[in-house]
Amino acid sequence: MPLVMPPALRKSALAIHLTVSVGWIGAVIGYLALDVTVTTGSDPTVVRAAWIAMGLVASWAIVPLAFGSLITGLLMALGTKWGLFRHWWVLISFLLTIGAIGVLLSEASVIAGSAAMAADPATSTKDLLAIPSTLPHSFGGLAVLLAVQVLNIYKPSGLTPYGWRKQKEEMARHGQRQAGAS
Amino acid sequence: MADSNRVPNARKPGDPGPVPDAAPSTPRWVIALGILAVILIAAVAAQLLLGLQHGPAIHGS
Repeated sequence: MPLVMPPALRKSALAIHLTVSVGWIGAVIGYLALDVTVTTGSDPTVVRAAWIAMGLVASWAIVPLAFGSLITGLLMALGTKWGLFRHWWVLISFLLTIGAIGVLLSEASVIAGSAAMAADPATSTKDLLAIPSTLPHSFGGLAVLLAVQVLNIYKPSGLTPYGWRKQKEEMARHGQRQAGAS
Repeated sequence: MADSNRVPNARKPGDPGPVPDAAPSTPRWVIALGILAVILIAAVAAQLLLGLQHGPAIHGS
């Protein structure tokens, strides 16, 4: 049987999970605004500032919030009746989050490198404006996060075979206990 | 607006719902997402196999 958190603890954990998860989406939207700026901008001062800000947002907001969302999400799944592998929407949310974090980590070093290049006064205007943007990954990441959010809000029904088996076992145990008590 | 408490079998927040008697089949939305994931993975794999740049390498030059 899954370890079920007491209601007060569950609500606190849920509040933290919602805060970091929605914060992650907000940070990505902020990053996206900067990404569009470096893609479409022609003013070197603005582009340089945007790249530096992108590096900071990615390192100090997006990555920590992503790990915060993953950790609190795992706590919510394993500490409630939902479980991690019992319901399709939980399992798919988990897999999408893992995938998003994997791509994010592979991009984080690229973003840091581009931000460092932009921050270097020796970088010429031509080289600065030639730094490739991360726009496809930004849009892709946002789409994945919104998909996870929709899954978490609507919680579409559907037990995994593992979840069905586990719940059957628990019902059988519960029935045996009741029969033994009477 | 309908009161969800009055709807029979309405799920309360945090209630995973009833357990079906027979082994459940995979929901259609899961199958649809699975197909989408396979298409996306195949597209990325095709890009890599064809030598088109994708991922961090595209930013490296």
